[in-house]
Amino acid sequence: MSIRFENVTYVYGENTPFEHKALDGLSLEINEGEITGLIGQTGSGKSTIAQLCNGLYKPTSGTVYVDGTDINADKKKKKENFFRVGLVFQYPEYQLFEDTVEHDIAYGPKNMGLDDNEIARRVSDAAHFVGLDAESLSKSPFDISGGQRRRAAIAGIIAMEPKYLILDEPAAGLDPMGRDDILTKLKKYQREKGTSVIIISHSMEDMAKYCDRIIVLGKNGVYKYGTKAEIFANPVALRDMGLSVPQITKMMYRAESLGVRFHRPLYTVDAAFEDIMKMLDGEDAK
Amino acid sequence: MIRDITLGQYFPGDSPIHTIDARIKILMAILMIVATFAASGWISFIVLFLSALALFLLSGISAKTLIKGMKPIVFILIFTTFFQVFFTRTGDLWFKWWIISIYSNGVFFAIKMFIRIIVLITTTSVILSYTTSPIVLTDGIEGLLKPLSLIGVPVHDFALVMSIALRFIPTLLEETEKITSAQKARGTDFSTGSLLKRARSLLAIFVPLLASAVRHAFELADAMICRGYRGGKGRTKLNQMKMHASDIAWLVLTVCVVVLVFALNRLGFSDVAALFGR
Amino acid sequence: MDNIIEIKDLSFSYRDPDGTLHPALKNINLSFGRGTYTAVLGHNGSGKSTLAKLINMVLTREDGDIDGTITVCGKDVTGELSDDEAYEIQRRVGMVHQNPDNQIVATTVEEDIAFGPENLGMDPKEIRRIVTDMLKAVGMEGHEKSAPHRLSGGQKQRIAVAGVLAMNPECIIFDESTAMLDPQGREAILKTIDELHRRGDVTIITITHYMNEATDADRVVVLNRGEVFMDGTPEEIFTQVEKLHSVSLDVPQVTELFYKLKKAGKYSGKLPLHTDEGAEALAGLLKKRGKLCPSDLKM
Repeated sequence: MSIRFENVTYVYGENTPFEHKALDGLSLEINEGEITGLIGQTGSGKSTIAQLCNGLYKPTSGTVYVDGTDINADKKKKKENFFRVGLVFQYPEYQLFEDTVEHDIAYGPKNMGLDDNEIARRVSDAAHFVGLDAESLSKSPFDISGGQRRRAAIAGIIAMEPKYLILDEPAAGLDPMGRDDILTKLKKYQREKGTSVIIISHSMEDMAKYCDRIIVLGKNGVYKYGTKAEIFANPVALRDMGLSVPQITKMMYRAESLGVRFHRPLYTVDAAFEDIMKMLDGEDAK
Repeated sequence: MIRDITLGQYFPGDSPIHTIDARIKILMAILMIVATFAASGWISFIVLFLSALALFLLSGISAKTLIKGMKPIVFILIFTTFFQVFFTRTGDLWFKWWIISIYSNGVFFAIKMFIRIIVLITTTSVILSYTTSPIVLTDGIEGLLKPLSLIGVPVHDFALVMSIALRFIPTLLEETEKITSAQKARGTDFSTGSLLKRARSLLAIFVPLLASAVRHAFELADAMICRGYRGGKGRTKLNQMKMHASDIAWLVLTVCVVVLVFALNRLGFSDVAALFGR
Repeated sequence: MDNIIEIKDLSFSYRDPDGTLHPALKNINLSFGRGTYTAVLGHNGSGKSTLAKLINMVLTREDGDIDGTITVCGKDVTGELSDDEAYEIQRRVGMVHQNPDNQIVATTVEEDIAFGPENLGMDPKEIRRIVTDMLKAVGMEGHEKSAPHRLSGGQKQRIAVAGVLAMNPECIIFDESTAMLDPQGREAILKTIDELHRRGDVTIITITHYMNEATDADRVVVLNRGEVFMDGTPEEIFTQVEKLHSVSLDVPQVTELFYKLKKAGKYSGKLPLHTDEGAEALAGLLKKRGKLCPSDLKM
């Protein structure tokens, strides 16, 4: 089971002077049960992909399959797909509108037509996952802190218990503590629930730390899908796509030009530390 | 994307019409409107029609655009023409069949009304909306109203409000689109259900949008203060509106058209229709 | 040194409409020398933006309780100032905010940059010269007539910088100006800041929570819970890895790596901050242990 794009083209403002092709014949597959990072420069169509996945956008040509079904085939099932593929927009805190945080989280489940008990269970589950306590649940969404608002908005989508959860820059604008907090919680959520999580981000460091697989989008829909090791193995290609690699990877390549030999591409501090320790200890053994 | 929708129907360009001072353009448009309504004789109508044609040709706006812009008024055109032709009962009877009788004056009135509406739409849209950006238009209005500030009318504030509104319309449109999508993704249904339910759905857009607009307003106010804004007093402008000799010439020309229209009405040449009728 | 801003024993509490006080800053003592480049680091809620708003007089006694003094260009801005004095302070201390959309006033780029000089009542010819110069200073030549909403976030923010520069300020505060930008936009702003600093006539204060934006500053001030927690050169600050971690702040990845190596007893030198330093330190480390043969050198 997966989300699959087959030769998808998407054109904004077709037949207007402002026509703009956001995606051109993109084919890709996002597997179930992982955290997938979607990375690419601004204008590479990341957010367009997100809205194609849940059916907010309809491909100009090509097909989007979710679990084998063409999501645009049956208009009546459109809403169903919103609930199957949950989408958290960029800066989602700006969509909160209900009188209390609790009601706002319950908004999605209510639209699904669930009964009150089920809604209450989902709200409390979702609030628990994002770490919102009972006190903040009863407050107005306009009275809590920015970080809490962000978490409340994410909980609103989680409460719909989608099979796929897509988040567009969930950590944008947060400080390091808030960023780690959100991403750690999402990872925990993914591991516990088995939901497939797709994170759109600009940060290679975050991708390296939290994702299982990465999709890299280039300007012309060129993409690379692979494990972190596969993606970071070619920093030059990433740079050519206008992306940067983690600082630690940059350092490693700089060190290679000074004669240091590594056995594998490094993209986290922990892995680098491990390898360097081995290299240093190897000498002791000799 | 929604932000690519242009405001009004401004077509950038550098035709002779594009380059006329905005203040003059507004005056020209007003004069042309006056002339259109003043015209009654055939020769006046010919003058009017030719001036509109000249303006249109000089502006470099394509006929397709102009015709497309007329679409919303096609119904009014047909309706008024129909009424004039079939319900006027003066002049010579030209045609009679069953209950339909067409008199000469009905046809003449219809043609005049037709020209009047076409000229009205052509001149105002060619002079104002197609060739003047909303920003320049705002400046033009401010320029024309300036004398009123002497009697305490807050002309500058009014112009600033207009231009900030123009600045933020694309931003707010984009936000509306984003919020709408986000709420749709949460299962909001904007098209079905009872009126109350739909109104509630709109609330899901309206509340966040209002919050956002308020945030924009406060932050913008801070930023404006930080950049030394203290109201219109003592302010200068980067782009001074300069009146050129050619602008005056345009104004004089337009005044001539109006005078001509009035004069030809008066001179009695106007009843060429009668000649036609004989 | 000649200080443009001097903060003495400053405490500030926000006041709610109902009179409740929320302490935001406690006992701050800081001064900023002319032409220096300081990064103020801290979490949301550490008081860093409050500090900026007090300096620039966006926050005044109307908004809360102020203790202590903030002297900007020789005037205490916490005291009673005439309108003209306040106006002059705000001209001298410019501020670039977080959201690029909320600081662009006009419908074209050139008119936005001109907004400040227009308020100062400058001659249109002079304003035209400033607009041209400022666009050049931020690398946005040729965008005079562009509509702001057609620009990218990074471009909008550069226009905002140009708009502030057009007031000829002595100090510019960047209040989380990169937080909403993508990596390209962020890089462009950092480059602009760097160039301004190199010109040397303007004091720069950046408020950020991105560590890698602080490594290029002359000095780093870390705020935590409204107090000055650390104050020193980037080297002094970022090498105190444990202290930063204790308030959940990051250090650059390279520094983190060498900190770990140091703790494991494998490294004893100075902790590097930058990529190149790190690579060289690593090569040196392996060389010392005979793990780096000259034959390995790639040409």
